[in-house]
Amino acid sequence: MRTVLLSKSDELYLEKCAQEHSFSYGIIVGHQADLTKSIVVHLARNSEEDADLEDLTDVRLSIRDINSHALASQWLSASKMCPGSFDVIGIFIASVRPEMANEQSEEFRNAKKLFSDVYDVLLKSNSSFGVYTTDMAQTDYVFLSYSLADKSLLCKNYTYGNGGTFSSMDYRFVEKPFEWIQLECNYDLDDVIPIVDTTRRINIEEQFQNIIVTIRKYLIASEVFLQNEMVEDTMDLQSYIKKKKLKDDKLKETATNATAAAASSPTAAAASTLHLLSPIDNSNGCVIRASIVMPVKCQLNNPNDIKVREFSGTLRMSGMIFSRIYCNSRNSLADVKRFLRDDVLRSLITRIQVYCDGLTDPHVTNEAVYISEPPRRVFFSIPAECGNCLPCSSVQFSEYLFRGEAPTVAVAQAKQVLDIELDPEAIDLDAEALPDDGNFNHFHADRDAVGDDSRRMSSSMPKRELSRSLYMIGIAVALLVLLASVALHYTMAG
Amino acid sequence: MLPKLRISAFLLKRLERVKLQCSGCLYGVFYGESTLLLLSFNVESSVGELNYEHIQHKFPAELDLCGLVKFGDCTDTQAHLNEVISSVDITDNPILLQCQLGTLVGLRASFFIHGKLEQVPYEVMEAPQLYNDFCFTRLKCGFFLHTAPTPESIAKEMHALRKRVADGSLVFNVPQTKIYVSSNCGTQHQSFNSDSLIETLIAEIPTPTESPTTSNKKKAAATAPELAKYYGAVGCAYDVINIDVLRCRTRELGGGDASSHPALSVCITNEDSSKQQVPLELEAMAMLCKKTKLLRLYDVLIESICRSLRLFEQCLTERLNEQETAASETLLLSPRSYHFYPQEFGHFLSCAYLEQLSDDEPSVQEKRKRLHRQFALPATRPYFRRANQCRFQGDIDTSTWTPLLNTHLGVRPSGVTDGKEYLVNGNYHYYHYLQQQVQDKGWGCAYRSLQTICSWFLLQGYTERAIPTHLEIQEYLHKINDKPSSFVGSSQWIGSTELSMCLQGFLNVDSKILHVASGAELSTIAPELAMHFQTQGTPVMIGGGVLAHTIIGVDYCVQTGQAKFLILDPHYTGADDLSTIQIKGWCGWKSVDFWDKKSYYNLCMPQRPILY
Repeated sequence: MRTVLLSKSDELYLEKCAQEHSFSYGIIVGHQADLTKSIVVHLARNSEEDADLEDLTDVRLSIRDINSHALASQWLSASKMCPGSFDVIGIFIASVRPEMANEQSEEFRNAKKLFSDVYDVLLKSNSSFGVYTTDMAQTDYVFLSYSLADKSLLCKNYTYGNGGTFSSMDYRFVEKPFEWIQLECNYDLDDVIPIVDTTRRINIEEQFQNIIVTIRKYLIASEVFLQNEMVEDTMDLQSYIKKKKLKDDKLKETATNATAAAASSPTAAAASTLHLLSPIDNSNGCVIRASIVMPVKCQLNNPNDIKVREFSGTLRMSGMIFSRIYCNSRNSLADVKRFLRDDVLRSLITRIQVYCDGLTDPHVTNEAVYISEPPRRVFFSIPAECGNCLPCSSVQFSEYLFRGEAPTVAVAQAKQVLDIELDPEAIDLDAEALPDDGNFNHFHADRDAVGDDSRRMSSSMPKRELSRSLYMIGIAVALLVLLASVALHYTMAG
Repeated sequence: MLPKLRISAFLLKRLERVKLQCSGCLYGVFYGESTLLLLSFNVESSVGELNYEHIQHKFPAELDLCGLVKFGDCTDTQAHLNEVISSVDITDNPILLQCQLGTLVGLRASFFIHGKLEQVPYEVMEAPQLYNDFCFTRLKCGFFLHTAPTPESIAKEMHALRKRVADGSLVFNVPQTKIYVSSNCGTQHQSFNSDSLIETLIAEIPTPTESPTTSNKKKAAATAPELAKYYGAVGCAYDVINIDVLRCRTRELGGGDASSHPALSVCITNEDSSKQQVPLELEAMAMLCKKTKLLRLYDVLIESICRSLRLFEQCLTERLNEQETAASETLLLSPRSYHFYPQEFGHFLSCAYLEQLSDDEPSVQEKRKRLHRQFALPATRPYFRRANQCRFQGDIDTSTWTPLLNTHLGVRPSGVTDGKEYLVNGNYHYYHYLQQQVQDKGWGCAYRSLQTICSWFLLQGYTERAIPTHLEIQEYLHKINDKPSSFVGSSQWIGSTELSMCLQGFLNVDSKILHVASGAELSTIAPELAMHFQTQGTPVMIGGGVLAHTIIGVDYCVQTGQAKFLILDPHYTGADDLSTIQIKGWCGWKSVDFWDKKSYYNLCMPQRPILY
């Protein structure tokens, strides 16, 4: 039977939700520690209807009144924000009334319908729901229902399909905060994709869809190294760290021995320092660096099927996707690898979606060069409720910001989707740098040196961004006019 | 210190055959503690033109230009030597071989040191030692070339591609193992360290039959030489290490934090002129001494890819230069790697051919002819046609049935005292009764013999035509009015004459028919058969009486006249099990008594067409 592990702070949060709003619902972000255990990472109350319901707190709300669209939209947004090792794993209800946590109640039956509605909306609203992961889409979810009246919690496993079924599920509150092992990776997009059909105008959205499909295919076929080394899928993270530490210690020893015995064998010393470059220091801020290696093939499956093709346009990607995930020490390395791949894919899809949503016209103008700059990923910590937490155990989620967009955008989004208060200062903007303006210049240095600038940067920024920059330009112009008039005034006076 | 010099026995045999005064380039491998093994040479295409630029990329990586060979009296050695010296990258001391015409007597080897030639002794390395000490890597990967169809653009893009290949982000994997070779960490595996050798890696490669649970160190070492059987090439005993290529998509974090790397951006470009995307699915080989340190492997593999890319570039560019039509209208063809293992060479050689450009295209034929000349190979038999390409064991599709190959290897000796063996020259498949679910027991022996002969022509690269079936054979004989229509689909026998007609019709091969009045007289044609195997080397069908057989060799003693015949018997009805076939004598040496003394016999002796 599956077990859900909750922390003390989750209980406090449920209590708070029930107290403040008498009836609340929201999503559960969790992590699959192993086949039978799911860890609740974060609960987030849905605040979509707060405004409408402000004066209706006394109305006896029930599950039937939950807006499944609002919930699905929160679900979707949250799954874009959480790292690849986490997912939205279900729905919670917190209420003052006792029947909420009663399996026999009418309310409970409505929960089944809610799940199925949300799932359907998710499927409909996002055709790439299953594409979010390199794996199959999940069909098992967690349902938590908390009643403030008797401080009880009902925990059920919901399985989608055939109208949905509820089955029993254990839960446990864990005193100690969960410990997370942080892994980081970046994925370099350094690809050129020819645009074959140029008889019609280039549709950016279509091209981006192609990119996603291709990268997903290759990601599935990829191998992931940890600390530059091949690792066995079957090992778990805990034993990997133990083994790695042992090896590093040994190497440290031999390295010092080697240096002591003069640099007689430079190759041996070089080999060992390679490993010392990034030792895992488990005591603080443990970060394991991962790298993704992909097959170098023209086609993954059918190498005979490829032909010479003519094209007259290219899509050139550059830059990278930064990935940071949090794993449980019991995760197998196969899981860890999958989480990393999922995270890269999720981040790619999300930023492309955000970018495309902002486009007024999905077609590229006929300019020679057109640069799209999807938003970049920024990270923020989920505030840990308990004060005595180690810094290591707090996890980070991410949001996407366009060039010039202030971190306050991410703060607002985190509040709305994840129900957390953030300090704009605390948002880590440096994981991914802004794309270099000159990045693509060298590709065209040989084409047309003069007049290059006039063709570049044709309006590729989406609306939100455009209005902001127009605003800035407006201020600049106003300032200029002011300066000019002051200058004019003095010259006239002089 | 002077390098030690070894010369492959294969190379010596080839040198011996050069009968014209000329000069050429030598190719060899440096290995171990400064030993040079000479393996190959090419001769100048015309006087004074050494032409190594054209040819050097065809060699496996590590097999490099290392000196000069002179046949006969030479007058311009110094001039050539100066040219070669400037091109020899792998050593400061190029080698000079001086060879008399048509003989190895008086062969002199000297190293060029401080502007002077210093004569050195050499050792001969025989085939078994070569197979034992050296191995090849065979790497597969694919790139896309985005280029305009002009030589300049191709050169530029290929250069960029090679730079990308060598940027350190490639990672190599031995398929079916967890062995990875990367630029920053070398070769990683639990049992490897910085002193490990290539042979340790070979020992780690699992062979298909070996169950991983029972394999301990001892057993792995015992099965290591078997690798050639599973991954080697048909007809050669080298171990071949297959390699898959991956690219690390994670950039090393420069210095402290990650902030240096920019986020994703996409640039969409409308090109003014049309460009083409050419898939480059390449296969690259490299030659390695098994005692080479694993640390070297990464660089060698990179070099092998670069060589393949240069070959691709060469053949793309040559094609463009030949065509002379408006460049913008040409659709480029995609190049492909082909590996060859000419039995005379004792090493692999790779060529790049364009897909859809047939072997019989005049320009392609011309190139092959030049290649034959440069390698001093006769232009009378094919070496570098597509059909000659190496068949690697791992690639042979085990799901489709293939007959046994070269079943005579390992048969008991003939027992002819002081005899000399003259055998079929090249590979063949053993066809016999009941194969492919054809119920031909009692009538199909000559058909099977024909199939065996056809397989020889197929495996030797003379044809790409599939082996004819019984029905196809009958249909053809009816078509040429040799047989009535009732013959098609029947169970009637055919004889030597029918065979010769079919060979003519299917493969355009002429045959010599030899009549023998009685079985007893067969011993008298032993010298003639010996001559056939020396000059033609094709399997011979013998028919007469009620039986047909395939003769694939003769052991003959000139002094005593005693002779035995190596017979491949198509009447075998059992499973394709080599040991049964050899022990029970379905493939083995037979004396004259094997045939009916009173019956007459006809021999169909296929003649090699002149083809290159």
